[in-house]
Amino acid sequence: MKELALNILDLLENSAAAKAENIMLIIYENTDKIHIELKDDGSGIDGNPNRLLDPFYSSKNKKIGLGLPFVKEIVTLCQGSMDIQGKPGSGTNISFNLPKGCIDLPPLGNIVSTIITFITLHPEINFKYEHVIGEKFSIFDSQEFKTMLEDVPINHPKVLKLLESYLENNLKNLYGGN
Amino acid sequence: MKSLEDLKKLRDQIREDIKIRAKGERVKITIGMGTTGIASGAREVLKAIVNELEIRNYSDIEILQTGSIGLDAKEPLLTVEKPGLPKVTYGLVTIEMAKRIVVEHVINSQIIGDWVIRSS
Repeated sequence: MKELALNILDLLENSAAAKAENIMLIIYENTDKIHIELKDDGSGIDGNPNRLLDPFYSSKNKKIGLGLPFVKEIVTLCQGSMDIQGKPGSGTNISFNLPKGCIDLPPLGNIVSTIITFITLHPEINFKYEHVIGEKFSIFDSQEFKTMLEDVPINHPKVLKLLESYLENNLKNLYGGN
Repeated sequence: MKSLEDLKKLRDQIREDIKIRAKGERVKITIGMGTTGIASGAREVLKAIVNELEIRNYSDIEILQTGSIGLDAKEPLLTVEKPGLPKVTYGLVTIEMAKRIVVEHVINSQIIGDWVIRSS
């Protein structure tokens, strides 16, 4: 994958496939590292979570792709760390830490595009996104927008366009200034 | 969006729009969002579709995702089902192709035969 944001989209699709109703994405950045955390309340993981890192492992019930093995590869190349938690019925929690100086680390990339894509395809999932950069942070909660939109779907093309510029603006404020 | 007022305004505008335009028949678009689909550009293709729909003010549509369907070499894959037309899958879809598929097939009911890899 060319961007970490694409790895994140792949992992988000796993959560959707695991029938998650609530998903939270946390991105924490400082000058030295990037920390990404994904929590969902989907079906969790049956058995040892680490087997999901094996690209040759597949379960017939669960359609999960190579999302986790790809993340694991970056973590190994960059000597970062990774943690997967999840029992059947209690959701899944994936987190990984990557040092920013690593030459093999893909850029975070277009995280707004990843979020908009996910909301387009899964409007029914409540999606929270928290992005922290140094001392600054921004929080997005799709539930708040849905409440405001009442009967109008959150994935209507015009709503998506507005959401996109809203998220882009938030991100610009995060990265810009002091 | 500057304020929540903007969102409310847009909501009311969309509501009015749906009342006037909605014909009740929805086009179903399915995009491959497995690992291979994502790695080969499905996210950008989907964004181009949503963008084009927004520009053309067309929203009688349902956008769904699917995992790998065994045609990884042809990703990004896009399946379009429009009432009255055969269900068609396009392969190796680019951003430019996605825009044309929305205008010609989704809106104007003209299947783009050259790009079809599967039809049923």
